[in-house]
Formats: sequence, structure tokens, C-alpha cells
Amino acid sequence: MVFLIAVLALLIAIPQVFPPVWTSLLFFAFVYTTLAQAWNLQAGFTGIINLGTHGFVGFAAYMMGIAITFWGLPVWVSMLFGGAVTTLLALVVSPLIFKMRGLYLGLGTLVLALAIYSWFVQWEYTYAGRGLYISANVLPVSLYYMALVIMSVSILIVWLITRSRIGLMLKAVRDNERAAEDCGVNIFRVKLFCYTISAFITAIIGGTFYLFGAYLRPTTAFAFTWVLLPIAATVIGGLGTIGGPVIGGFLTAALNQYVLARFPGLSQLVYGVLIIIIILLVPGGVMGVISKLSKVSLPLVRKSKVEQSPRL
Amino acid sequence: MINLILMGICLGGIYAVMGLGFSLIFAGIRGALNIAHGALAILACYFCLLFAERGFDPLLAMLPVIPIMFILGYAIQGGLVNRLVYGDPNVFVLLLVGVSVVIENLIIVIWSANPKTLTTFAPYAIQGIKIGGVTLPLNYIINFSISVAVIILYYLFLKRTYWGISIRATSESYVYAQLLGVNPKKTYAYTYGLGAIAAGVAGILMGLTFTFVPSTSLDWLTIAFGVVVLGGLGSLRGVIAGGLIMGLTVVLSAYYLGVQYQLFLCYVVILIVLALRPEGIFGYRV
Repeated sequence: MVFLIAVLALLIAIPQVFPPVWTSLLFFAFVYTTLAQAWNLQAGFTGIINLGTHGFVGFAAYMMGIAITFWGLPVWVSMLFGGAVTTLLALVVSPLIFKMRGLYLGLGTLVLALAIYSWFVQWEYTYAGRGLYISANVLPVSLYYMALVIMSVSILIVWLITRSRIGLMLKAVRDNERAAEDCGVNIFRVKLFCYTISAFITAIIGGTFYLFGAYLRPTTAFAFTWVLLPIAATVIGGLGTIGGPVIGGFLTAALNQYVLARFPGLSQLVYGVLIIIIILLVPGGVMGVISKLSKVSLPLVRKSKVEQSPRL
Repeated sequence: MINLILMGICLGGIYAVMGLGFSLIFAGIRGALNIAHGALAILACYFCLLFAERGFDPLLAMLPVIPIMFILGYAIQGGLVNRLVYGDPNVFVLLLVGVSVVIENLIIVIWSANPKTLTTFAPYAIQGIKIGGVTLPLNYIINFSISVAVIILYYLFLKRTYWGISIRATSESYVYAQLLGVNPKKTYAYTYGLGAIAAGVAGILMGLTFTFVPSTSLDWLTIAFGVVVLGGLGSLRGVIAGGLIMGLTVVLSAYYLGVQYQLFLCYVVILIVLALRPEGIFGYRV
């Protein structure tokens, strides 16, 4: 507990003390961590593999952009607007998506994201492929604190959820849907809950990110990287844990900044390879390694699967 | 109008082959949604490009590319995915995402992300052919013929040969197939290899008809998924039906609504079908 407060204090102090390079690096770390937390809430705790995160990021960013640039709403309101509309979208789409059992789900989310992308690519209202400038001038420092707050709140939310009754239901759904259903868990409501909360978090942090860049184009707003990064961050850090996405998010930001800035264009490749290697060799991610080394049982891992024979 | 319908049918043929591989892998390897399918198809295209640039006719180039795709598919399944057979199917998906990303980005690194097409090497393919008063581009006809041939070949293979039957056996039950002397992991590898071949052939045919960039692999993955969703997993009739429906949808929507809405409409249709009848027209419930 004290440790956490100390870290928080440190993070708050950083922009005042350290050069701006640190601010932007940590900003990215916060964004990635938040996205990873949202993704992890779905994948690690509920078993929903969402391959369509980029759809929500882009959608929220565009909605926020429209609110700021065309309607002149203040930044706060616009961001919340983006979040609200995206959550609404998630709500509306949920009945469609959750009809798909298990594995179809992932591809369904991907198709959803592609559909949203293909809409914005030709929507003249937002200048289609030419891009939209967000006419807001927010100081990087304010954005830093915004992101810090959002990240902390989202970690808190996820933590609270996992300790609550709903969290128990989420994990039950993850482990065995049919058994959960038999125990009286309303699977659809549970998944809806998880999906919409993740959508909101993703939307808000996506909006924050694009306040930083202030320029929106369909190809970047809906880039596959927005799915790949949370997945990589979560897998590297440890799927299904709370600390995992945090570690993964920070590591990924550092990786991006120091290693991949030198070799642009290789980043996706590296993440892909990392995902493969970690899944095969170290499925618990960094958290898994830590917990094995320290023999501490952290709010960890997926199923304690002792399934020796494959699904028949 | 007849023109459009015929074109839609021909396109539907390729789509069916694309879906064939995907369906085979999913049905054959319990629960393996091959996210890397589009990537494999595009890879075959680029391999074909390699040969074509050296003066081979792209259609002929299919011949060496087929065994390459098989070996690659076998390696992917045998080396990577097979290790996860005992585990949680969700992790399959993540792994295949990784594979797909790696393939796509290797392509970008090696070949660059510029748009390419195979039609430049097969100029005869774009000419129109008159059949009974209707003009069709020759490559659509070639595509259709090859697709039909491939589908028939796959059908015969799965029904009549030892490996085909063992694939079907393993897909029904991993354990009981073992009882009958089939090595299930090896069979999985064969299944994936076969699926990769289908993806490759479909990819090359698409490359002969359209331009492509490395990220087109996602579009093709969606097509494969759409075909299978529409027609039903694990069913050959389903794949054919799904392919035809998608082909016709794409062509007709491009004509009546405009090309920009084409893909969007595709996705919407897929989502709706997924919601209303996830097992497709001829499929069985997962």
C-alpha cells in the first residue's frame, strides 16, 4: 500500500522534475497500460478475446474530434462524449457479438472494427482519408496527468471488479461457460458488463492519446497496432493478472521508445514474434515468472488447468 | 446484369476456396480459428510474384508455390500450434495472431508495402471473352475453373484417401482416432498444410484479379471467415454456398452502391448472419 502511494507520488512529481522526454515516455506507458488493462479485463478475466480494440479507439477518437472541431465543445466534454458514444456502440453491438460462441467472438470483434474502419475511410463529414485536425490545444503536461489519472482509475476499477461478486462471475465464465450458466450466472449480462466497461476505458484513453497527436486519420486511428499493443503488453506482462498489464504496458512503451524508434516498421514484427515466443515458452508472462520465483501466489493465472487430455 | 451475376459467381468460386481452407483448419483442428489464413494467402501471392518476376507465368508458378505453402503450413502447425493442443483454445487465437503479424510484417520488410498485382505478368488474363453475348474478363473464368477443380480435388481427397479420412477422424475425436492408429498431431499438421495450400491457391487467384498490399491479408481473412459463417463450418456445400453468396454480394453492392461501401456492406452482412444464425446455412453448432 505504502509502495503504491510512493510510486504514485513519484509519477506525479516527474513532469515537474524531469525533462519532457520522460513525460512523453510515461504518457505512452500510461496509455498502453490502460489499454492493456481494458483488454485484460476481457481476455484474462472473462475469456473474451477482443481483436477489435482498434475499432473503439478510432471511433472514440473520431467522435471526440467531431465534438471538439465541429461542435466546439470543450475538451472534457468531448472526451466524455467520445467515451459515452463508444460505450453506447458497445451496448448496441453486444447482443450481436455475444451470440457467437467462444471462438467466433474474436473474429467477430475484428470484423466489427473493420466495419467501423471501412465506414470512416469514406465518410466525408470527417474528411475521409485526408484526416481531421483536432482544434484543441492541450498542454502535454495536462495530458500526462490526465493519462495518469485515467490509468490509475482503470487499474482501480479492474482491481475492484476482480474482488467483487461480479469478478467471481467473470472468472467463472472464463473458466467454463456452461458450468457457470448452470450455476445461475447470466453469461450475457456478465459479458456485457465487461465489454462495455472495457469499451469505455478504451475510448477515454484513446481520446486522450489523440489529444496528444491532434491529428486523426483512418489508417492510424484504426491501425492494427492498437490491438496488437494491448495484446502484446498483456501477454508479456501476464495474462489474467492485474500487475501484468502494468508491467507489460511500461515495458512496451520503453521498448517502443528505445529499441523500435531506431528501426521503424519493425515494431509490429517484433511484437508478433514476442507474442509467439511468450505464449509458447513463458505463458505466464513476467508476472508468471515473478510469482514462480518468489513462491508468492499473486492474483494470478488462468485456469489451473490440469487437463491432461485434449478436449475430446 | 447477367454480366454482374456471372462475375459474382466466378468471384464466389475463389471466395469458396478461401473459405475451404479456413473451414478445413477449423473443423479439422478442433477450435483452431486460423487467424493467419489471410496472411498465408497473401504470402503465396508474394511467392508467386517472385516467380513471375523471373519470367514464369503466374498460373504455372502456382505449381512450385503449392508445396512451399504445404511445408510452411505443416511447420506452423507442427512446430508452433501443436504445442498448445492440450491447453486453452483462446490461446490458439493469440498465437495465430502473432503468426499472422509476423508473416505480414516479414512481407513488408522483404517486399515493401507497395501495391502489387499479378496481372502485370499475365496480360492475357484481362482480356474479355465473349460467351453467348456476355463479355467476361478471362481471369474470372480461369479463377472459376481452377476453384471448381480445387474444390473437387479436396472433396475427393477427404473422402477417398487415407490421409483425408484420418483428418476427418481426428477432427471428430482426437482420442478415438489414436485408437485407430492415427497420429493426431501429425494429422493436424497435415490438415494445416492442406488448409495453407487452399489459402495459397485462393490468394494467387485473387492476386491475378486484384491489386494487393500486405494488409490485404485482413480483407481476405474476413472473406474466408464470412464464407464460412454464411455457409456453415465444416460443410463443403456450405463453403460453396457461402462463397457464391459473398461473391454476388460484393459484385452487386459495388455496382449499385458504389465501391466505397463494398467492404462495409460485407462486414455488416457477416455480423448480421453471425448474430442471427451463427451456424450458417449448412453448418452444425460449434
